[in-house]
Amino acid sequence: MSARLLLRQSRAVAAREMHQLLATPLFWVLSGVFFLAASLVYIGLVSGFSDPAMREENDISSDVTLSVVRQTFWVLHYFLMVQAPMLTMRAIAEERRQGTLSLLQTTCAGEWSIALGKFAANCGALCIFVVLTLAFPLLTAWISDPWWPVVGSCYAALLLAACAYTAVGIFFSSLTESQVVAAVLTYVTLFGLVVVGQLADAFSIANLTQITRHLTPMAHVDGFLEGNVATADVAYFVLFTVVFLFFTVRVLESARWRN
Amino acid sequence: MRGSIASQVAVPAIGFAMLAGTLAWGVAMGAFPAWLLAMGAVAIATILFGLFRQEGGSLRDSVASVAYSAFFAICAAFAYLIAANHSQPVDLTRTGVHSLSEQTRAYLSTLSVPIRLTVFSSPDRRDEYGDFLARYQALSPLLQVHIADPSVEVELARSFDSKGVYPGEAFVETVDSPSPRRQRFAFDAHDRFRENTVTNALLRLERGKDEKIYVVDGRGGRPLEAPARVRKGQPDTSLSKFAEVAARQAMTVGKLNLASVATVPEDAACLVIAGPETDLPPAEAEVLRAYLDEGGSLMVLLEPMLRRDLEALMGVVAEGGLQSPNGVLVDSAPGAGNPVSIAVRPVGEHPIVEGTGDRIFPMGIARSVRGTADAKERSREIAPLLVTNRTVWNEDPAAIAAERATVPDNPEDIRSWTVAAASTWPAAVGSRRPMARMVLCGDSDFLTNDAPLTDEGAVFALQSLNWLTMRDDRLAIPPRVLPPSQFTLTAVRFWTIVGSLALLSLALLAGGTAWTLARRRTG
Repeated sequence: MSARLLLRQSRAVAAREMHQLLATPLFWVLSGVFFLAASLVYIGLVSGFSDPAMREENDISSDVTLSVVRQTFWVLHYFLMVQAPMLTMRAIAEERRQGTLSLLQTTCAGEWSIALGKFAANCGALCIFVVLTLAFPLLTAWISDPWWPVVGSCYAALLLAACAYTAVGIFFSSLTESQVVAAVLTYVTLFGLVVVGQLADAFSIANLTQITRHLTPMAHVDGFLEGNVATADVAYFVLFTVVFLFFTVRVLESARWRN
Repeated sequence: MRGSIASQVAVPAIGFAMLAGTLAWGVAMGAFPAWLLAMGAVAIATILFGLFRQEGGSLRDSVASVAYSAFFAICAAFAYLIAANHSQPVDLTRTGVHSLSEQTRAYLSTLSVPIRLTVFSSPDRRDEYGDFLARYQALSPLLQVHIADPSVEVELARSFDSKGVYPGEAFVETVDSPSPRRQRFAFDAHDRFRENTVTNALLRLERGKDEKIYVVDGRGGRPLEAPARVRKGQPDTSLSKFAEVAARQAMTVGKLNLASVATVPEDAACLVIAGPETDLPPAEAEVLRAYLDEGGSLMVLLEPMLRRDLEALMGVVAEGGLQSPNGVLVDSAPGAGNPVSIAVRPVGEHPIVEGTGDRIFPMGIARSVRGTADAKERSREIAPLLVTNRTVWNEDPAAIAAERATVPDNPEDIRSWTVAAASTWPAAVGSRRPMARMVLCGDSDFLTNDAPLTDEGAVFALQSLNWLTMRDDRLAIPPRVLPPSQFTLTAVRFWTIVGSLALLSLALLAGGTAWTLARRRTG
């Protein structure tokens, strides 16, 4: 398949998927609820920072970017982890349930086009939520002087994490007709990676700690949020996304063979 | 999933159960031996087989599909490991808190002998030490780092000290050297001066000897050692804390009584006279003069409230083209602070203050310093180092003691004053060093144990000593700190923020939902 054809088909799938996503109340309810929750966290952090007694000189507690903005983004990252499975659970599962997946495969789109189109649409929907969170650093700039390069790296973390979690969600959605099963499997995978990292730290097993440091997304997000962007962290999220998209394509191919 | 959920989820579920069991077993054992890793690999293969097998196809097709997927995943894992081993960090913070300083980078690029750094750490701090020292390793392949738990690697700890080693202790040693050397130092990964400590430990090891700084004793000035017991309410005016900081600079600080020597010792890299309260006898003044004539280095920190003239000492200081008029500086606009507690900031491009930024820091009570009228004629190069705000005047100490200080009528008397200055001049022909150096500072209290030693104050003092000891290429490494953020949160602004965020949330929730429902009704 030529690149141009792939792009055209992917765009068509993405447009259709995005239209369906934005036309459901679920997206708006999720965005509104998580934005409200993030706002409460942000207001709490700002109130805490406004108390001079809570700030130590020469400490991150005296820097608004690392105390308020970074902490807000840390919470937003967890919200993304909760939101992504809910948005992606219907991506391919619904197509299977309605029987439109085989129609899609036979009439207009290859497996990669379907996977990329679904990924782009769901990731784009999450990115809409991420863009809305610009309100937090902008409001912070109104009352303080955040350091914009670090704010930029925080956004890079959110966008890369959104891509990775979307890819995981799309993969599990491709495995089943049940949206609930897809969402549960995605949650188990994502939060399982978090829990394994914390268990390894808690038990202080040297080799396991080193392995889980590479596996868990939290360790890679942390660097971005602190303004210390490493190419390894970028590679992690990119490869994570690519691997799960590849797995999705494999599953779709097997479905085509079966049908 | 394909077919019934139960039939399709069985195989991956077995794989996940095996993987969870492997992890739990390894955690319980505290290690992952080869057989357990093999079990984990089988679990992963089972999961992959369950996910990617070709339902309805042949076993061969299923195996091929699984193998293809596993191969791709392994390739991705290898690509990540390559990226992780060659990771290039980019520090986006305002003051580069995640990066090593230019001084450390420059030093590591010149490191010419292999050095091993062994740090003993508790397991919960291991990652902090590892992350910090990884920056050193990335810059020099000659530096080997090993982080050990003294309670686990007991034999290793005993090889360094038979009595044992505690977490937070570190050793640097030469590797494969005909004359092996080893240094021991304390290293806290949380310490703001940690980079200073590690870089200078490496420096001290490579150089093989310490610079010796002598604090002149016996003139009623600040003692070097802390008193055995500090009485309640009595300030501890010793310099022991500063001496500890200087020790991290590969400097040994010792006492010198000029009355007991005919000449300044040969190993003196610098002399420090801190807060003298009595004048020098003529003989001691001559010893100092002779030392300076031969290219010596002298740092004088004055006691600002002293009303006695120290003629002989100031005569020696005048040899360097510097003087300090009697008087104490008072700030006419101190804000919420004490008017006699002066805030200063670095100025100019002298090596002592270069790269320290222009951050204002408190110094306490201080007197002014300036060049003598004939400094230029006598080839004394004078450079101001620290200056006050422009709202300061010079007041008689007696008036301050009697609380009779008044703002001068002449507005020209209210201006910025120099509180510290440096001077260099050529030494006598044939001297050990070509140039003599001097730093005169109008306060000594900011270095004592009684005053909180600010980062800026410590860096100023350390960089002065580095410059005075001619270590211009090894300036004190400022701690990697974050400047405090400006913050203005009035009640109006707070409620505006709350209102804006509430409106936005409501717009998303209600507005978005209403819009989609309306579209459905029409569409």
